[in-house]
Amino acid sequence: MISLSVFRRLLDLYGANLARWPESTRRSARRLRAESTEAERRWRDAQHFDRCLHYFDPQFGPSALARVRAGVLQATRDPAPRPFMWRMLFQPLMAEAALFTTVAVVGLTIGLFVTGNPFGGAGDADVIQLISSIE
Amino acid sequence: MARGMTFGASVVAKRINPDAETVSDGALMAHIADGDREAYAALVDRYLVRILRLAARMVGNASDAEDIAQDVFMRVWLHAKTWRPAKAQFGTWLYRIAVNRCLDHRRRRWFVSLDQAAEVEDPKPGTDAIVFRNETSRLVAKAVATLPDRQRAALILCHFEEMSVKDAAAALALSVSAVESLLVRARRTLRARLETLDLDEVGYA
Repeated sequence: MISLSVFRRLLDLYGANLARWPESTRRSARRLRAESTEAERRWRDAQHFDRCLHYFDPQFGPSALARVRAGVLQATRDPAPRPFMWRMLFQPLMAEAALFTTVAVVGLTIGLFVTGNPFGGAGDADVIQLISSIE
Repeated sequence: MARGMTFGASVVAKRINPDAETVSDGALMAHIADGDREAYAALVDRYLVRILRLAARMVGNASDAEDIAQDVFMRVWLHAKTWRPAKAQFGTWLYRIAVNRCLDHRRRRWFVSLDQAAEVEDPKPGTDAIVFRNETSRLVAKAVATLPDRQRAALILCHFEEMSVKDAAAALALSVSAVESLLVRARRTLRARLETLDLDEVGYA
């Protein structure tokens, strides 16, 4: 027969429902309950505790169940958004491209301020004169 | 079955009747891994209430439990191919995902400021909210909520979900002896808190 301390530990592990105890311990547990008032008292305490736990029984209404079910099933129909093709191709070069663009913009700006008109070059007359001299 | 042939003729030819109760979780998962939405719906119907109730017991909040349940099933859909029947039963694998999501949720909530936490905590009364039967159930829920996360998880899996200690250990990624220790501590703590509760007075004797 199991000892009272083992009986108590099994009560703490499995509760008062002996059907949930390891099969090898059930008969010994019943005998101990029958022979020991302390074991019987411990078992009744455990039974009271199990009945308390029985109250911890959250319920979900039909509308909540239907809502969650619909959400779960809908999610499988919404594939994850695919990245645009250009992003897939150029994503690895984005940092370099940003650096290049920044340098180019800074260079153009400096050129504008330093030379006054970086795009201003030879006039039409100069071009005609240049072509004539070549000919 | 060839993977990646979601709507191919070979898959259609092997289609199972997902409504049949005899279809095993493993068979449903094999079809889900191939993108079979009917099998997925059958699996959701089979486990939705259990996962919702597990999450509600773990986080103590109906709307959070709904979010967690949706996330859990989404992970099942996305990661069906990673489930290995030889390593864990489907139920154990599912509960592992669910418990981890609940623990993650509570950890994140720990960092939420008190003002924000008050907003999140606010339960929505009505038919959609968790309905506890009476004051007794609220007292028990409150006592369970004060347990450390792993003790609460062990108690919920073993007592409410009626899992064996071995399966609960697999779901929690702990040893059997660790789960036994968690269970003993959880029950002793709760019993001390609830021993003054008179169930006869509330009509449940």
